[in-house]
Amino acid sequence: MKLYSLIFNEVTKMVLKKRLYVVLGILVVLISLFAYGEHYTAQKSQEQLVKQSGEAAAGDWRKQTQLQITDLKRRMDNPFVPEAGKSSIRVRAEQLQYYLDKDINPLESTAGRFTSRFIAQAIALFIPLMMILLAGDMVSGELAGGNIKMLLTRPVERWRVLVSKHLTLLLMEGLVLLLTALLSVLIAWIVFRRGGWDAPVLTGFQVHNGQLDASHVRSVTQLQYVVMSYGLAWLVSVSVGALALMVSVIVRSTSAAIGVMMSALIAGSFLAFFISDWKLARYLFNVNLSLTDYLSGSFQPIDGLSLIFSVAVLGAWTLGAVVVSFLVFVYRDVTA
Amino acid sequence: MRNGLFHGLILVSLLSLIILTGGVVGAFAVTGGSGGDETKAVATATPRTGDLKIAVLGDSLAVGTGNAQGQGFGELFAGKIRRAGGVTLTNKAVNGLTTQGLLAQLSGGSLNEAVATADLILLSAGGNDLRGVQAVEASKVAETYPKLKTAYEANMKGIFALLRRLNPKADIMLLGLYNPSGTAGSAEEDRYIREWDSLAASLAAQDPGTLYMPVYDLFRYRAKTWIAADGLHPNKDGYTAIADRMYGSMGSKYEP
Repeated sequence: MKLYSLIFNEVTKMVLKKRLYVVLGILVVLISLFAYGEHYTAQKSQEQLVKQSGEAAAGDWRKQTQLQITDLKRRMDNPFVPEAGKSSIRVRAEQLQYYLDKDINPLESTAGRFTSRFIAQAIALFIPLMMILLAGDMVSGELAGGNIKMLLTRPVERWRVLVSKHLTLLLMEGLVLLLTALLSVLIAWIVFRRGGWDAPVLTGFQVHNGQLDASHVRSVTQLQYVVMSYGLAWLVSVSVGALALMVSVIVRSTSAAIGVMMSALIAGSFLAFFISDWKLARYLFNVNLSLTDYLSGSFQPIDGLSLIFSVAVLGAWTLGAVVVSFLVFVYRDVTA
Repeated sequence: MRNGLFHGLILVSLLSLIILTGGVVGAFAVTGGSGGDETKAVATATPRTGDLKIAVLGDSLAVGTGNAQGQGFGELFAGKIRRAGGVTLTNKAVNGLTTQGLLAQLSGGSLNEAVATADLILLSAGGNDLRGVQAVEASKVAETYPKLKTAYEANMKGIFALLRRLNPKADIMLLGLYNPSGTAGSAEEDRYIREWDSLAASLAAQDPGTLYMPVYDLFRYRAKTWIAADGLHPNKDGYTAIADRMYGSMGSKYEP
């Protein structure tokens, strides 16, 4: 119960300090922008199609889609198409059939597709940034503001204080992701007016011998896919959050803590270029953040890189961050 | 009131954690991220840098007829590849082989091992089928040609189907046709060769793992220098030109 009241105290601070609102505000703005962009692109490509093939042909997307399906089915029967490729052709035909059955133009976006696309874009930089904003001042803010003396003079062991902070962060990360999902569903629904939650989505790519193996490809529903994507985003959040909290324990000023973590994140997107040649780079946490790529199969297949590898790397960094944060927090002299 | 809100917030967060954990479990399930699979991937990853197995099938071009040193494009191509594990080449080509003959060779089973173990299959066939046109009287050519073409197409489809049954993964390279007379021959014959060549290209395009390698252009203006004294096969320089082109397009794939 003691721990729960500590967590409660932390949650209260988090909400009252309005940092959570800032995060939510940024989310609303960004998701809206992204949704508008997607909508605009879809419109543009529709116009392009009209220009190319005339009003009648483009307007009749059902016929076009039917043609594509027939074509895919014919390719399935072709003896020259290797077995490995057939499963992805089958799922593509399934997808188009779904759109046809549900009377959805495959060129237009749906709330489901948007929600998963958004998280796939946001998982490597934007979501971690939100987590850094949340975690960056959890300890350094108290050091800077002098609150820490109040907190530590209470009859509570220091490690319990830090445990409550870690657990609160874990809760808040879940909350932020839940809100991200809800907001993107809501905004996307306003923009696209279509759910498309049971649409089939292609997944199940594996890497064997450094090559993308599509023979286990199968379809899951859009809803399942979204939940999986957000689950992976949560793993990323937990890892980045733990690291940010560690930095926040070590560094005294909040802005320095946030700055350190942000530069580490941005460095990751540069370092990712070297990952195929420079073996050591793959053990850095910041090049292993795009976990959703493993779901969509949109990654450069590199031998030895897989979802389990990336998650293991993130896990190791998380563990290290937690241990360091405890050591520093428990043994440091508070002089502020 | 406010306390209630915070308690609620904590509860909602806990709930979202449960959903997210479910998502993580699902993600691991679909990407086959279980430990067993991973070791399999690592274990089979080793042969990638090991030796490269090339199987050469088809007619006299694959044999290397016309080259005094007796090396066909396969041997010359293999000689260019720099690779730690080396290259193993099995040449099963036969002089004068038609697509009919290759099909018989394949279905007879004598190529099974070479094809099944190959990483890359080099294929040259079809030229001898077309020579069937020359065998008939000039008045019958217009009648014979379409039949030969249909037979060629059917044979090639059968060859690809058999190759893929034996080895679904290997890269296949299908060599195109050339006119040994360059610009000097009859226009009619040249037209047949062009048609045949484009048919070969479209057959190759039906299999995603197959690359069609045109050579018509190589010999178009070089028949004098790159065709051997027999007036039919490439000479050493001609074969080297083919191998250079193959290396230019596929070499980097096999050099780690």
